[in-house]
Amino acid sequence: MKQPDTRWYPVAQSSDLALRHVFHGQLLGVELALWRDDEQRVNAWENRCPHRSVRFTLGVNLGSRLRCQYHGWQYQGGDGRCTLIPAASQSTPPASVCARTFAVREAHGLIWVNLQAQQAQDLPAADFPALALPLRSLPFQAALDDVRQALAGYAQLDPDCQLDSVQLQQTDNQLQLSWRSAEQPCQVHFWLQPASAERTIVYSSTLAGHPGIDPLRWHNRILNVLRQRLENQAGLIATSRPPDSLRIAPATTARRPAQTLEVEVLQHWTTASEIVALKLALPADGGFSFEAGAHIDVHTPGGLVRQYSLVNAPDEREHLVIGVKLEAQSRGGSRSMHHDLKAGERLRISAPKNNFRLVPGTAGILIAGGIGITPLLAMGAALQAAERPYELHYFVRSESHVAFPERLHQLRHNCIHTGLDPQQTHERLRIVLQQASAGTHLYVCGPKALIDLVSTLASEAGWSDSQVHFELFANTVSHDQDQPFRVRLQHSGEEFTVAAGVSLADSLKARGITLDTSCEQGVCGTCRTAVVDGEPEHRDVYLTREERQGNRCLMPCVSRSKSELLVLDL
Amino acid sequence: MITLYNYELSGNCYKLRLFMNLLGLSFSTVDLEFYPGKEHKSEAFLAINPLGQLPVLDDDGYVLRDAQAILTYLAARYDASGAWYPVQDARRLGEVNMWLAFADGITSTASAARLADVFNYDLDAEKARSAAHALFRILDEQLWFSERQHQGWVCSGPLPTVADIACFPYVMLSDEAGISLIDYPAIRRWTDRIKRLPGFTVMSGIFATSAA
Amino acid sequence: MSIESSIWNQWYPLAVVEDLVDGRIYRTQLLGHEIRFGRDGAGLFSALRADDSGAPCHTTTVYHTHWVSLGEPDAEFFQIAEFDEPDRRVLGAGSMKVHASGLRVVENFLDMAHFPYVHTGFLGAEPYTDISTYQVEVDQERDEILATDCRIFQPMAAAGSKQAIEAQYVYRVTRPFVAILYKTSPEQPERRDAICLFVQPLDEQWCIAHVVLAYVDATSSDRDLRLFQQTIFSQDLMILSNHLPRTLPLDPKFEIPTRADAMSSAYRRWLRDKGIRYGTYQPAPAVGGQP
Repeated sequence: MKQPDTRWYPVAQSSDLALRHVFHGQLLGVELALWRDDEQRVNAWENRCPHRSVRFTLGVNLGSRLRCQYHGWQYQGGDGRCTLIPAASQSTPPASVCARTFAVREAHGLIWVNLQAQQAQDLPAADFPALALPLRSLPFQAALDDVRQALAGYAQLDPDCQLDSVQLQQTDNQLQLSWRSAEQPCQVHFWLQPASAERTIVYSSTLAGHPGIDPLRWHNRILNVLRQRLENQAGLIATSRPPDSLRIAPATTARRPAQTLEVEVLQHWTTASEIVALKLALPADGGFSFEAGAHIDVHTPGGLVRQYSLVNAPDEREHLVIGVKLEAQSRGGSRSMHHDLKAGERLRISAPKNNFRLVPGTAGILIAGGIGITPLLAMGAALQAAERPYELHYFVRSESHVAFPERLHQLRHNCIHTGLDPQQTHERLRIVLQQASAGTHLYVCGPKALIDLVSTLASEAGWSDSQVHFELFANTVSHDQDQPFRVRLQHSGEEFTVAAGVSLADSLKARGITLDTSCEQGVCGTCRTAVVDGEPEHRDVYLTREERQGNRCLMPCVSRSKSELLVLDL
Repeated sequence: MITLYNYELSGNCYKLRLFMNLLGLSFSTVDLEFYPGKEHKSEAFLAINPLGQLPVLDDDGYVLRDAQAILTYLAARYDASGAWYPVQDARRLGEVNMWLAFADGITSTASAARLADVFNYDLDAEKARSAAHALFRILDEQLWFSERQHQGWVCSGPLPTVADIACFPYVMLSDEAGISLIDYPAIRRWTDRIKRLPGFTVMSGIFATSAA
Repeated sequence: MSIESSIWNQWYPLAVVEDLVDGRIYRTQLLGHEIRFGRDGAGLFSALRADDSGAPCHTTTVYHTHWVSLGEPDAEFFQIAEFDEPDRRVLGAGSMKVHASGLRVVENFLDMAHFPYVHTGFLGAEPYTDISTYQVEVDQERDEILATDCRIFQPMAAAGSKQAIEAQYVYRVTRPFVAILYKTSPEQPERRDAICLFVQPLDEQWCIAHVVLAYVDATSSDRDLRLFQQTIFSQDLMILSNHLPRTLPLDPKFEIPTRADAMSSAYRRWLRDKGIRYGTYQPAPAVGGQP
């Protein structure tokens, strides 16, 4: 049984990764999509979108994302997480949807990939140094050993080569040749990439040599001749292709993006009447990539999970800022955030999620009521930075209720409406909506009454549904109105409570119970679990009607329980 | 008024739809059913083009066949800059024509393999693919040096010519012919360049790319 | 490799009626086997194995298509009532070969979420990308899958469409390699046009998609109807040519669906429950030596 190859190999030249390009590579039979994002970071991914396995090389490099051509799913550079599924644009893609990433490094003018390594590993030193002038790389329809053997005769293809001056050094996949060519010293270094068992790519570099000769063309011609001879000799028609040999990199269970993390509270201050603000530190080894409108789940000191929108401006990514309103009927969530936290303490949060996005390239009218200002501050800042026309209308009870005044003052087009009664609010909004120009999108966040009012007024003013966006803290499968329920595991007898806002699947996993999940949306069937007793509340789209009525199984990733107790066959 | 005798899925017809869009020329099409109807072999069409091939261009009664010839006519007639087809510069004119002839070779190889693989034409697809690969190797080399010494177009000089338009469609559709472009990174970068030309338009099987 | 009976004993299309010339002999493949077929001077369709056996195959002609079976098919064909309506335009849209498993082609046919990206400006466009919830039901009695209440905004839903509409679709899968799309007829909105996808699996990685239309349309020419269908299909062709693997994986961890994929998820489950392997991705068992 062949041991996996743990070496680093070149897979492209740095110059191959052009601006907003997706490079098509292959290593040891695995197809690769290589792309450089706008921060110059190189990504080496298996050339396969995890949705329906369409090649990423058919897709588009958007600068910070790679977009698959089939359904427009977008993946961020770095960890390869899917950040947008257009068919459900107002939801956060599940963490399970992630490109298969490989360890990648850039050195000696080449891109290096190791199919086995963890990202943190360093590139070992090269056997022979790269020489000053990189030459054109060339693919050979031949196995690596055959190519290496043929390259040993490279110098002899120079008609001016002094044969007794040829010196060759080689290792498994590198060669260094030097010789004298009509009294001039020549030196070439070759690196070999085993693209597949039948295909090898040769990267070469040289010292500037021959005066009066264009080294790029000169060496390219010689390498072409060498390739022609090798391919003919092997009985191959130089341009025939071996059959489609498929190699899929199996999914890696290591290094899945973390579901939650602990962060330090850097600052905790009162920003308005009944509203506190928190600044949360991000871990040293990596920030988050998120867009205006994003929110995080916070595990409050009181034990409940609550969602809070991120107030961050577009360039503000070293920490997270949220605003928390003290709810009069707080069950312990906002109350504990207000009274039981201070700077220096730690808080458990999720990665940012986004169900409330700006539509790119359009103007925006932002309408905030009370604490609903938080995502709209982020959106206003984003629109202003992008130089898109916008208006922010902030409805508050009084001056003292205005949150984050320092951020508001940064937004040029904001309008604060204080102390309006319902009738005045109605009239003010009616005018705002009527005066909007065509193609503008409307974003609303605040109490239900405000959202309902805007919804009605927008409809009356002829706005189409697709132009009006409300902040909903949930996707179509909401955990917001959930009731907690108890679960008993049949085999161990263990019993626990599934809290509102946490899925049954996550609860099981948190208790160390092995559960296979995939889509995390109740559509793929992977997590199906048998039910011994209790009445499941089915929220999936996978089970048949009979299966749902039978109540002998459920999908724990989305489904919950109607009965107080659910007994699972686990 | 320009009329193009056209078939939506023909790469040769697309050369002209694309070029006229790049030039900002308006035109109408007479759509013929190449497949399965074989309308290009009908008596009515043979009277227009005895070779029984699409595309044919009719510019107010001036009728021309052959995609490459039509490209040169449109450029010479309508491109005020003279960059697309440099009739004033003998050497560059020769160079462009050399690559137009090369593009015709792409048609007889890559397009033939596509006809076999998609429309089930009875021809030697493997032979066509091999021949296409030989041409793509040459094109990749040309473009690699062009990226370094010029602006990355098929011919020398700072701007694209009709040679780029002529080579583009069947290269871009080569996956449908069972020809992967994995061995031709310079060609792949060049296709991005073509897609970013102002006025670029797609055909079935070709997709727009991001701005750069 | 032996092919499971649920695949072997099916009817498969070889040609749309108007694409054959009487008296000519044609060759093709079906399930990896060479077939010779044709219509004689009197219009009678026949097919036989082109291997040593030269054995004749069961044939039938229905829904404007010539079908063949290598095994012992069910006596009863699935019903498509629209073909009985006398005012329907019935025509083939042009059969195209695809380098992908026929199951991938069927699944692509059942999917709407790709419309804004693959059929841009025709069947879909940004920003109308959200797929609203639709209903999927498996009809146990007829052993068919139905997706109803599918809606999407379409800039140009059909040949001759003058304006954008919100299209209403119904999808139906009657056999592993057969699917039908019903869409509101632009001419008579209380009736539906039917687009039938009859897939001929040449082998596990190649197929021919025969598309047959049964339309309520008194104005468009045959050429226009076919041209529109071909434009749409060949937009999918580049995508279908680029699946890695070409065969359809049935493991829901290998390819991850989203809620908009409820129909394709039901289709994969239906195939899994039938024990179908032909045209599906069977990964090599994981060995210690593989990365």
